[in-house]
Amino acid sequence: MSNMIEDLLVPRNEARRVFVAGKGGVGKTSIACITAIWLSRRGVRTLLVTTDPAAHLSNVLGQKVCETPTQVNGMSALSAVNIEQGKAHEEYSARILEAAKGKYSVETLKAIEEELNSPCAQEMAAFDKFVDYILGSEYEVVVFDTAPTGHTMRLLKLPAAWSEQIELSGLVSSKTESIENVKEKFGKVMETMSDPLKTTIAFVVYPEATPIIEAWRASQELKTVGITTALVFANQVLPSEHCKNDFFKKRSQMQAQYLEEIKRRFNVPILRMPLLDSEILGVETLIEASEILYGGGLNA
Amino acid sequence: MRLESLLPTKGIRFLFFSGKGGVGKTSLSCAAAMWLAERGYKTLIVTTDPAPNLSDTFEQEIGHKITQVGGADNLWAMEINPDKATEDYRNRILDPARKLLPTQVLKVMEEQLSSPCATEVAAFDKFIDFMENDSFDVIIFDTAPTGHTLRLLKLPADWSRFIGNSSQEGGQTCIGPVQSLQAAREKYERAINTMRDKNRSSFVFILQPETTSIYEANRSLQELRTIGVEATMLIINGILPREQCTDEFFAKRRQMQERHLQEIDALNLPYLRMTLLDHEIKGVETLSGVGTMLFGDVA
Repeated sequence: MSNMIEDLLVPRNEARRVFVAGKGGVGKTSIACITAIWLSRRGVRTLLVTTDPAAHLSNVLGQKVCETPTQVNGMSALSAVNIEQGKAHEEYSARILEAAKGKYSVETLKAIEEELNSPCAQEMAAFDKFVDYILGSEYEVVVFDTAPTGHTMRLLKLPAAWSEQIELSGLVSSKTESIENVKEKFGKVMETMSDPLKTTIAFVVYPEATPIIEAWRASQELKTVGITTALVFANQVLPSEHCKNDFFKKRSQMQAQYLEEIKRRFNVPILRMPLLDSEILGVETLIEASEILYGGGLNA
Repeated sequence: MRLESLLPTKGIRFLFFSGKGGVGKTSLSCAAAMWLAERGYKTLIVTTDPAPNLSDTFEQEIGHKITQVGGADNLWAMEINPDKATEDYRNRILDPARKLLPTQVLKVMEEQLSSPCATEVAAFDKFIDFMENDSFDVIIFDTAPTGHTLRLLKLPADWSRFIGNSSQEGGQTCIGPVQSLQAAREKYERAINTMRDKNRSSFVFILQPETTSIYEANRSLQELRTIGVEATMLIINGILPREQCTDEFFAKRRQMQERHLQEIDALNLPYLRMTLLDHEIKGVETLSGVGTMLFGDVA
């Protein structure tokens, strides 16, 4: 475990947020869990925030994850919370429509309702739930198993009246909260997320062309709003000691080329997670995996 | 395995390839294109993937125009540039609105039209143009990753409804003035009808024998059903060749795959299996070989 990587994950003077970004299927949830487990075993008070459908994370952690932060069995410093996207989206839509009712014409309300059905609104809804965890100080590290896109972040920055009325009025979480408060809150979120001392953006890829290019594009988009990628996890790296025959030697060489490509494109520290001989399911396997990824030294 | 669903039995055939990024969608859809072209069908393969991956796979420059693939008869390819498609689309919608709306509102609209949703609609808009093209026997859509694709496919239905609602009220959508969408409605409806028509459209899902991949495929299959489309077949990619799994590490992974293959069996859909190769699937010769491995010698 190099100091450079420790500096990106272990909190020093203030709380740190770690966003684990990447396309579906690359192992985001596993890497987020492994990272959270590793931190909590070092005694860092850690919260794992997931937006993954409950069944999947429950599979990985081996226990049900609820909508309020709950301690993970046997891990005193680790809590997990699941943001159910469907539900978050429903609440968000209901809130916006409630706030808009009576203020706008029937057709505008219809347009708002349609807009709320878009995938972009779904993303906003999930992010809306993140805000309290991003700004909160109850945990030393909060690990998110997903990250907002550049588009979501840009929407938050837009000063226009339209966005204020439609987006922001819905984000007022209680009736007493004013638009001004909400704007201030999002200002803080932006400031927090673009501060590398407070936030670490990490992408997960596996060493193949498509995942690398997709992650690269997403990281470039985040850069347009001042959020920079700090770390890349290269997942599913073939363990060379097991690649004894020509077939797997050739595949391993192919991966080596893509690992070079990751280095060249991102120019940030890369952590390699080897492919294991079993799936990463349950706390025991997660602990083993965390020792493989970050090294076993708990007091390091 | 009946392959008729891949062939243009009644006029033109549209093949949609679906699957999460990284499961091997591009390689296998190119192999399918190669296989069809070699059997005498005039074939076009189109992608909207942000990475210019057709050029990579065919090992020749393709780009944002219909290009004949060198070294293969009957085969054409095109890489739709999603940024360019989005820009075209954005301008088409914003231009009529520029004189009508205040700057601040236009700014929001511009952002909306740069959103991932707008990018998908724009790409789909380009797709539909191909669906009205009858100069090919088969058109293969190597679509963007699953989540994207599904939203893309669902949008015309939503939009048609939306356009209907808004125009009755004389209202305006967040995406632009109703008028600029109105004309597109019929086009969208024709497209969705084509997709639902089993004689003309087929949906091929690529997945790997892994928990996440199966989970994602299942979710996509269900989402497709909500718009009245059934998957035609699955291609299970990345199967470890048994004879190579001599090391116990890979033997164990192979056993894990076996279990997942049984789960895929339970999906009750026709499937083809593709084993992992020791090289990347690139170049017309390799693609031709993979096509034959997958679909057999005869049509």
